[in-house]
Amino acid sequence: MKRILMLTLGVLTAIGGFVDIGDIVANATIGARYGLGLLWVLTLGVIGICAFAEMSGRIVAVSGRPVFDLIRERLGPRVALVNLAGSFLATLLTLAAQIGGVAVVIQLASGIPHVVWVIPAGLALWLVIWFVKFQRIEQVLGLSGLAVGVFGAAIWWLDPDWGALAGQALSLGPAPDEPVPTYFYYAVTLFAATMTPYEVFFFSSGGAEEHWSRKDLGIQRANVLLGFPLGGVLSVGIAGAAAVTLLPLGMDAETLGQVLLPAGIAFGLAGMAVAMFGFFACMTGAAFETSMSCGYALAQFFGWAWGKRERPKRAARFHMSVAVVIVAAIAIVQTGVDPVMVTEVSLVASAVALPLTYLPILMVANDRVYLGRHVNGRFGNAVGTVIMVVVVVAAIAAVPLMIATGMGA
Amino acid sequence: MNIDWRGLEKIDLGTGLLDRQVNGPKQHPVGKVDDLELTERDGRIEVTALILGTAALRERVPRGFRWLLRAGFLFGGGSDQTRRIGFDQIKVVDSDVEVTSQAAESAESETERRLRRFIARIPGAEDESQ
Repeated sequence: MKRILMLTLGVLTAIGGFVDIGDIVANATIGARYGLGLLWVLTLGVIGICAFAEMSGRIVAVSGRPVFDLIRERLGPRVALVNLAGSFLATLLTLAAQIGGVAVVIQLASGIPHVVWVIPAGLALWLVIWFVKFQRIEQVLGLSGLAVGVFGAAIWWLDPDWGALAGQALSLGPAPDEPVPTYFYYAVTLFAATMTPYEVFFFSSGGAEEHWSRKDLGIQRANVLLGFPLGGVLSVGIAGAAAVTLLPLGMDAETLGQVLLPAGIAFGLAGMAVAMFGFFACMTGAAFETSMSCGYALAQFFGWAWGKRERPKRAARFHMSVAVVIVAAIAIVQTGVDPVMVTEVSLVASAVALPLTYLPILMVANDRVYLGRHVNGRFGNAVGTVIMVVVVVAAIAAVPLMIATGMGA
Repeated sequence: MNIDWRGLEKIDLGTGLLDRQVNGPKQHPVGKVDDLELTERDGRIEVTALILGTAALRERVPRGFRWLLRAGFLFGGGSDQTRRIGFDQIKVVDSDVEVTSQAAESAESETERRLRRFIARIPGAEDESQ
């Protein structure tokens, strides 16, 4: 019984934890422009995140050590340092985007400009990290994040032309009148949003925080294979709701206010409120995960004590770095840059950093020194390799596409 | 020396010892094997100690990359002096290196201690976490 409860909670947490400002912005923008036309990218990303999160979870459960603890000993200090710098920077930007997003959501609810809310949001985040237990944070924010399901409900409520939606969902390329580079630029950002590096950083370190062991292998696998795809369904809901409301009106989803609109069109003020609550929870949860991930990355490279499993005093450098990272993220958003802009930049940075995160996982998952008989099977390696190719292509294409299309303009 | 090598007869110092995680008892992290101390005895070169600390790591990273480590110091509050753990303090060499509690204690980073004094003043720093 306890195991079933654990599983349910884990799955629900994974669903809510999957969606962050990157997913929200990417799916809404793409939904408003291409409808469900990039569903294939989201599907590919979900398969990728499942495959790699499962590997990283298995590595933790068997070896007791999160993946990034192992990077330096596998790749040597030089490569690991470059890796650390790249992933760290991408994650810091992602954190800044989440904090900015939280501030904008409060602005939408209160009417007071978002720059006022940046410092309070950052401070509240730190207080939560300092005082609240790990599992409690994950569960409360993960479950609250399910409110984003209001977008899926909106599609159903508006009862759109299902045939047209299905037609979009089955398409594999841009419409004839759409520029190809822009289409692929959005494809890369959506892929990066789905496979954002911090997700596995956090997932594997979180596994160590929760003391996973071999006997939890089944549960952690079920969490991943049920939770992430269902999280993907929430994302499809956001894209689909934009597709049936904004696309026919020729509207963009360039601000979080516009992203909320489909929920408002379907359910009025109540719908907007639920959506805002969901966004708030998802972004706060992701802010927690990204700030912890920055600390995990540093601590695991240098060998410091880390995590909430230690008393804060016992992991002083870890907690100090988490605090400094939050201050740095606040400083980025406080300049007044548009949080949606920060999100888009963070997605491109994430796309570039993808191989840094995923290649070592694939390597360690095949290493018998750490995993013994639990190394990847043939199926796992086939999926992993295919996704790895996509990851490398996305990483190489990200910056040229961003420049060529002027960030998808 | 009674090191438990987990059945290994020989190891590659570069991949099997260098850059490994050093833990005290109960898996409490102490640092990484940032360098090794080699001593010549009767014409033979022996590994006599593990060297921990960013100052040692700095020497192993190419010049062009060292600014990244310095950027890291911003977070850690300064470079760590090197600490030495004698080979006789090692208990197990596995995917990590387990050392005696005494060695773990004495090899604790100075930066960690400094920050600990600071962090201890914040309410909740002593709370049982999780």
